[in-house]
Amino acid sequence: MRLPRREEISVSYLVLGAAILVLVILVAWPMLLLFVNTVIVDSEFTTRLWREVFTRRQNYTALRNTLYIGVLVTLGSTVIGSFFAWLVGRTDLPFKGALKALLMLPFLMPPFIGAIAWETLLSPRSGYFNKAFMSLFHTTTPLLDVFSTWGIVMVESIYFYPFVFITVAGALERMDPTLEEAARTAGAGMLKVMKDVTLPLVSPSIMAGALLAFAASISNFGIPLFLGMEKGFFVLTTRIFIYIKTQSASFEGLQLGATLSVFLLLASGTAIILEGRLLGGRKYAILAGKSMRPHIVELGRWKPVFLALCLVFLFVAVLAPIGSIYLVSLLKVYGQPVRWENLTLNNYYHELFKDSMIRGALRNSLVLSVAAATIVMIVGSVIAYVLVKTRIKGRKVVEFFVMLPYSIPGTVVAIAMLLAWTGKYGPNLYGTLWLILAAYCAHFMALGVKSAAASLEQVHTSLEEAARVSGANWLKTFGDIVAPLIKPGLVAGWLLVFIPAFRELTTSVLLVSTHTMTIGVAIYNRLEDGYFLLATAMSGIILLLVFVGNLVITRVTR
Amino acid sequence: MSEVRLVNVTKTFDAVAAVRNLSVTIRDGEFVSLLGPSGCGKTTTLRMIAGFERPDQGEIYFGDEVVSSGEKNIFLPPEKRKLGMVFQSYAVWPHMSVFDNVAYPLRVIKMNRGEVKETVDHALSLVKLEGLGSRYPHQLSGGQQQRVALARALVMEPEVMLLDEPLSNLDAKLREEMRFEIKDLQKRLGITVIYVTHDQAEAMVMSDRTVVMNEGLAYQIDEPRKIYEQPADRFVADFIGLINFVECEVIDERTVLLKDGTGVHKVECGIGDFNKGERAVLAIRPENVSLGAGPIRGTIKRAVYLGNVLDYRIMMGKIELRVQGEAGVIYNEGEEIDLAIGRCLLFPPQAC
Repeated sequence: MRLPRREEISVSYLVLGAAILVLVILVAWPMLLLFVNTVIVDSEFTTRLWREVFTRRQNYTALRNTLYIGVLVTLGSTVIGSFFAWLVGRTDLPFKGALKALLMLPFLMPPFIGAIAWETLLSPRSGYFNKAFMSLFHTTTPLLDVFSTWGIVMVESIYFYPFVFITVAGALERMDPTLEEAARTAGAGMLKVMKDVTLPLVSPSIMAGALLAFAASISNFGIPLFLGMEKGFFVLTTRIFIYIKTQSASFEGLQLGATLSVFLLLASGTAIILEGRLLGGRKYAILAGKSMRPHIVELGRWKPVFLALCLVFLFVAVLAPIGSIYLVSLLKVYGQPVRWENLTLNNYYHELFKDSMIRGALRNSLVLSVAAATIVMIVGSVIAYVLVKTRIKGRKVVEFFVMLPYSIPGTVVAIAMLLAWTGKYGPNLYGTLWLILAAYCAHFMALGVKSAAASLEQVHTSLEEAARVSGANWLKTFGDIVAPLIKPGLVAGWLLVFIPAFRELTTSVLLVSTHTMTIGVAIYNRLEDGYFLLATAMSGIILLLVFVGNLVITRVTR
Repeated sequence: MSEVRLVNVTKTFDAVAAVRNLSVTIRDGEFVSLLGPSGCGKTTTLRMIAGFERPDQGEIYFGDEVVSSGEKNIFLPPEKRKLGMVFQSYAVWPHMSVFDNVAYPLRVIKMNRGEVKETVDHALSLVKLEGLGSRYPHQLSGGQQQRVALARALVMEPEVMLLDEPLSNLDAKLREEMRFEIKDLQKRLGITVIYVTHDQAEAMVMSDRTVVMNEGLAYQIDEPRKIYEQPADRFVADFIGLINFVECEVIDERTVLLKDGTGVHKVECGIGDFNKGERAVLAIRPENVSLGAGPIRGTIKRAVYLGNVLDYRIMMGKIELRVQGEAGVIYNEGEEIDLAIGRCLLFPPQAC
């Protein structure tokens, strides 16, 4: 019912105008160029690029691989995510709080670091799991070669099941337990209630989580880069990468990459839009919802079985990769047995203090992620205020452009930035950090807006109005009431942007030059150059930072 | 100076009229309730007085000063209106202590520290929260939070205080207590109070006058007693208290004819503007039917013991009457009794 007052309208429109300008520069303009450049070459309309893309067999293969892996990962993630969400949400399993926290860990893990971790476990010769398997069964065939389609599917499933886990666990938590109790009193048994009431009610959330996992899988770059390229296995993201890298500095290569990325955009865009439809109305609820006392299924004599299953999964899929990456990072030579005399801190020392390339990359990533997080949170909270607290026209347009780039794969964002800001249509930012910063801001804006909006929605309008009748004007009210109340949310949002921006790979790998190296790309270069131990040490440092950062997030938002 | 005057105020939301052509003058020191079902426009009216909504048409005056005028494009923002306001959700700021909450309006005008302390302590003592200044809202009960909100509204010693359903989130016992306390404070401080409520008992107990609203219109503006005894129309009669409506026909200046499907009864009633032979609706309050003797015969359908009274549903032929009887004499369900209709009112038949 609240309508803005007239003197606020002018301020709101001014702010809205500025926000739209930022979004046009960062998002709309580059995206427009992306589409335009697939049909315009040398200012003439042509279908040549499309024909070129369509006539290459490698492109078909990449598209097929992308969808094939996407579907399998979606299935795997959905099964794992839904099962564990139910197990920790609706059964009398012990230690559910701790189990839930541990099951969320893969969500924090940068997928490309996950790929490195699994390489230490499942590389055909020297992976710890494969070695253990081969010596245990006296065989020379490894348990699973991580450099294979199934290896990629497994690793992606492990890092993307949390999408399903979070949405389903949230839905189970928010579900009114009296709905299930009503079915029980109507005479339905525990299993029947699950089948007739619980499952139908959470199925939209399962679907939504599955779509998120699908979008994450097809947009992912790090895992197929590290695990697929070695054997010549390409998906769309790595194929686009090849287009850009092999025809470096040629605008033609860029345009071909843009054309191919339209496919990626369509596939992931469809998934994200469907997901939004399924969970419509709760767009800002990241992990909200009050806790009710849920309807608990008693596992009875199956309890130890389920607990063991949970613990084995956690050890194998979650803890072992993390442990293994640290273990390897302490070795003097890769492949050595883990003995005291083989251990060293030299890898860390070298990465942190010896190498100027790494030092530069660390500095760049730090500058970029701090700047991106700060810009995104400032612009994001202004936009969020307009979206949440006002009813002025044009909000929906802004919301669309804010949420858009987050549903666009990082690869596509990078291509759009390259098209827009490398001199052809304006300033040439190539070779500067500005180019990467623009990409980060566009890509992470939605995260900033979402977290600011989520905390703003907690601030009841009457709290502001009480300040107004107390004599404070709009600005003072914002400073005295709104800002302090949303501060924890903004700090968390800042970290939510800072952490993934700091270890970013997908976007920056296409945008870096020798002087604008980022830490994610540096790790990739380490692997390319064969310095596996240094790559694991660097990964270990990033992981530590990620975990500490998330600890801070849970502290400030509690 | 603290008279509040609304002149032909109209407010529309998305082509839906929330308040239509409302004119009312709230006198200095008066306690006026805006009463009505949800969606009747009472909260919108209060928010227009506060300055949170802008009327499309009409004027709002504080004393002689126009604070809002659709035609003249005058609009004083809420922070300049010098009002006290209490919200339904209390709106106590969770990041400030009780003291800081109450002190906020004083700090906005940059009052010096010593004075702030003195004034806040006084306000806290008015609402009986002495010594709780250092607490935070989450350490307080709902009733105490409500008192903080009240103290914050009072601390500037406003001449006009607005309350938006302030008691609706409290439990019944506390609500009763707070009614009395708010009324008492208002009398002691001599302030003008505009009070929004959907609870008719609250309006009855506290107000000097009540504005009964429905669908954006003020149906009646009067003292509680007049609203109960002489409701302006059928809506007001129905909304305030319990009432029976029975169709009838006017036969002369003093009598209406009531057909109950099995027989015909004459009931004495002042007919006012009605003509002989006209159809009308007879409105009878449950307490205005006397039981035990009278010209009409009825059967007790239900009897419910309410402690101080008995609530009966009596079938008078095919008409069901809600009647209140004294607890001293108890009639049982199924029993036949004689009854007489006392004070009653007539409304036009099609009025709703």
